[in-house]
Amino acid sequence: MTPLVFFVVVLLFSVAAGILGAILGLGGGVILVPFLALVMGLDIHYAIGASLVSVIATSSGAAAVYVRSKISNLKVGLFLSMATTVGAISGAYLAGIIPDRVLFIIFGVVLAYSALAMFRKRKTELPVGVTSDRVSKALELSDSYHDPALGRDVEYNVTGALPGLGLMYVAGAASGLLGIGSGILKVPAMDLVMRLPMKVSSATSNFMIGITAAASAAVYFLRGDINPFIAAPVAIGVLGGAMAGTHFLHNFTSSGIRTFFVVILVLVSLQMLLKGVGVAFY
Amino acid sequence: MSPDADSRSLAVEQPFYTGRERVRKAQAQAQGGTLKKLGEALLSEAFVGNLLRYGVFASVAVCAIGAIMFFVDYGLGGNVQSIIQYSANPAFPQSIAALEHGVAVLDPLALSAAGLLLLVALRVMQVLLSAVTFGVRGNYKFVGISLFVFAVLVSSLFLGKAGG
Repeated sequence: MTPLVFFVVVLLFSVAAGILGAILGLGGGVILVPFLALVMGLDIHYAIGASLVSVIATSSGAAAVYVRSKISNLKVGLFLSMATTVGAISGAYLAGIIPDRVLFIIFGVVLAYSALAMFRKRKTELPVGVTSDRVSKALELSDSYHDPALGRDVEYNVTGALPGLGLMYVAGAASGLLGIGSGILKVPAMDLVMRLPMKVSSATSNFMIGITAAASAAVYFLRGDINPFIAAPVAIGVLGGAMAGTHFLHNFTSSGIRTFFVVILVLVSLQMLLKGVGVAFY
Repeated sequence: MSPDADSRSLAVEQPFYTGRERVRKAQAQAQGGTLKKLGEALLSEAFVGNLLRYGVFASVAVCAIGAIMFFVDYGLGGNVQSIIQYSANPAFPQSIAALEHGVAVLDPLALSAAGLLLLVALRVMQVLLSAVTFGVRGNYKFVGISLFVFAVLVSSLFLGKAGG
């Protein structure tokens, strides 16, 4: 493979990952890392480093749109970022110490969980009867947003701020360790524990993902694991894909794509696990 | 609608329930403070959104320029592994100071790396800007929260090497 072909292949795959990521509310890292590590045969640390960059680009692209539409709750995002950033640095350090095989296995397990989480029907109705807890009240986390699908403004309260903070540390650590945005871990935490409306959880997660990834990206960069020849086409492709994908989002039912993606995730998860225990097909 | 949501919609009339932020906003509107309005506009969600959008475009453009320069300088031949080795070599700029030099001599891959670092720096700036936003609005709890996140991000830029 010549350098130009390599560059173009990585670029095109990243465009696809960016589109999918924006539609499904993921950073795209869950498919980029396996692609770079398994298909392109790169060192998994380079794969993770490039993926972190893609996560920042996707999140910035998506966050720009969501922040303007005021669906994302900036206060909740910043509050939870206190935990995700510290978690991300812990994860990034851990990735430098543990053996590659263990990384593959952990990645496979997280992918399997992601597939399961996506497979279960996500509840879309708005949470009712939520009373703000003490911390949320003190920080005035309650807010409202305009829902174009419902055609009205939705007011909501926030609860479980401290348990949410604890879960975000774990999500941040997964992000730093595996180079994923870990939106799949952040959204359920906000959705189920903090009782935010689904759309607010997704948009706020997208806002936070980039800040989380920035914390671990710095660690990878200084370690030489963000390789510009790999990460540049990834960043360019993912940003292009994400900008295109975000415009499909608002009134889009993505159940078909979701099912397809679940199948892909299961297959990729198996591949990563097999690679981790030392079985390779090619 | 919950009783709580009802009382929230009366926020402006019930300063006891609302925080400093909404009260100040209401006061600023009542007084028509031009400077405050300007501050609000500059630091509004729309501005942050635009900063993110255009900043990301700019940093990715720097990345792309580096990549194009690379192919112009070194042609289409060569070996992928050795290119990756080149930038993985400890001699390749991996600190901010070394990167400055790489960019100054127009090393194409160093330029791409600078674009990637700019992408990271943008998110750090975004957090610092939100600290200022909350400061203007008089919400000092969130000034503290933003500054905490900012400090964590900045420290990650200096802690990095130890993990290797």
